Amino acid sequence: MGEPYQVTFQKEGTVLTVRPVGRLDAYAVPSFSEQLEQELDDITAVVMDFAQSDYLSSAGLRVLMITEQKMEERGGGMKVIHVSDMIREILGLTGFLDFVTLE
Amino acid sequence: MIAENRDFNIIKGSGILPVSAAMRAGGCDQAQTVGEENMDMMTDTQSMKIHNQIVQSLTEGVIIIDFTGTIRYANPMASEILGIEKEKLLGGKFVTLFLAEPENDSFAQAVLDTIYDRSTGQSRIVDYHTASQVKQLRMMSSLFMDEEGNSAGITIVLSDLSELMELKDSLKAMEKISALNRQLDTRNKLLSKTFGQFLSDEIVSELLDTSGAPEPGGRKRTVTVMMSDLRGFTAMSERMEACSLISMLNHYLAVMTDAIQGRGGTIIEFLGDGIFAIFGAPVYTDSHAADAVAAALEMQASMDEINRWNAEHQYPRLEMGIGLDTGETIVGIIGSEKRMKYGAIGSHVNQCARIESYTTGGQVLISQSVREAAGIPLEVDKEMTVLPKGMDKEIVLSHVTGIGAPYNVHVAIQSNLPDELEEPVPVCFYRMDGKHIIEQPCYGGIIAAGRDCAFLETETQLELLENLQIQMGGRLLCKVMEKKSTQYLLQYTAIPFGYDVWIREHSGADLLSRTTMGKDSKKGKHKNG
Repeated sequence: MGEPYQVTFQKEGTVLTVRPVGRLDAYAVPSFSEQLEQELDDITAVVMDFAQSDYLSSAGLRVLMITEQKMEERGGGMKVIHVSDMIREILGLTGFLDFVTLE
Repeated sequence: MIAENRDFNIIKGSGILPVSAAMRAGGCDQAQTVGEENMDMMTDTQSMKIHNQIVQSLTEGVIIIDFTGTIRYANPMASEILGIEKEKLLGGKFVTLFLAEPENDSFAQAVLDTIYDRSTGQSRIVDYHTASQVKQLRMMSSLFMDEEGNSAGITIVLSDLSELMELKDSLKAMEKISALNRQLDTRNKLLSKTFGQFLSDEIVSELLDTSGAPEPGGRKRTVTVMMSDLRGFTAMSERMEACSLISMLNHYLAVMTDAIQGRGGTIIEFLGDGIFAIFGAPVYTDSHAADAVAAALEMQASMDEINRWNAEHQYPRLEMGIGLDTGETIVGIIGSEKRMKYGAIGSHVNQCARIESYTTGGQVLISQSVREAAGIPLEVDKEMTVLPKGMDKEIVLSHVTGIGAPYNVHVAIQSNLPDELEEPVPVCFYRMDGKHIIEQPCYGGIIAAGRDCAFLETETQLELLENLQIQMGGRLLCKVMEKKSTQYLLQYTAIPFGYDVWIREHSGADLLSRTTMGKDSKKGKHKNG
């Protein structure tokens, strides 16, 4: 079992840094999606920091995809940082790297 | 371009293995077996061509996704199973094709889990939504590596199990239906057995053969109605223990049921000690009247056996009267949806009940319509004309004692005459209206008395077949059978327990020690008039 899911948000101007802790699995995603949605007002860029999470489910990927589309519409985008090899492969396999920047 | 390369391998020079190798990694046994057998004898190009042909014709769908999220290979069956056009599938992005809508999350998650659980390939059954249907797919996916040992992509082999699942569901449904049928069959047998104790086989068949629930409804039929009753049963039932009474009654009814059903009669119901039956329905027969007469005579004939059995069990002697009438009657299933029964309604049912009320123990009384409908000669002891209560014309009743071929049933007429008493015994009696006494005492004297009949002398004018209640060792019920001047022959219909003591006191005769009335009597027989 991984760590229980948590998430922290940090806003700097119109940039929101999202730090999920633990697994973003099917159980955690509905809550994550709701919390993220509430933080997105006036945000044009999202930085997903996966330093403390190494599991991203298909539902979690969809939340990222929707968020990225929203940011793109606002003229910004999404950056993914501190990813494990596993999540890097997941992002690669699904084609996410085509529209998010990986650092 | 991908399309140009798909016949042979995925992308030459990209580090991704040929289709055959990827297929082996994906667990496609057919490709693996054929490939290995022929590998040594062929060039790589020939081998790849063969492998490709095999994969193209597989009944499983095969997809290869690389780490740019691009579908690098898909055979025709994959396109068909996933419901995505070949052009759209090949070269499409996984995120666009499978992640946009949540409905196929279980499919997408199975692919992702191939990365998370890289040590073992994935094999699971998932629901997959196409535009028009939900399919059950078995998907096996595995990671495959390039020549340097790096993850190169994922192979997915898909089988559409929808038909199999439907078949499984159908099999389950068939098993359920089969189980329900077995239950229904058991229930039917139980119902048939239970009903059979109360209804004739014909009615049970009619009810069970009715498609769906039986519905109330009837039809007019010419039938012969039978009503029978035990003389003095009500008084008897007050004196007997309940279990003895039921035991005696059950034995009696069982013998009667056999006699009635043996002649094709249908018992509509038992009315306490009475039996209401019809002949000629639900299965029609031309011989219903003759059948009914024969059954009635057989019922009377079997009373000796019943009374022998009763004597063995210390139960009282029973005497039965039977009335028969023939005519148009409405028969069928009568009642509401909650309670139904096979019944018979009509004036002939009421008239039959009246005819039965004129009988004394041992008699079978039939109307003229029964005699005419029977169509064969009957032995008739006597005829009488009566005006039943509530009817506007008299009817002629015949006391039948026998029926000829092919039935050949005859009963002996009991013509025991009462013993003359040493001197007339004054009695108080009441006339009766149905089962109720008319509260006006009448007086007379008993001049002769036997086991089941007596002579009464009275100034009161009595009618033939009139019922009386007389104090003779208790309340004795009797019927006026003959009349001459002021003397009346009374046939007992219910004898009280104290009657034997009463008659011993007045004649010295011990009735219990005699089997036949009047036999060995020192007294002379009383002749009326």
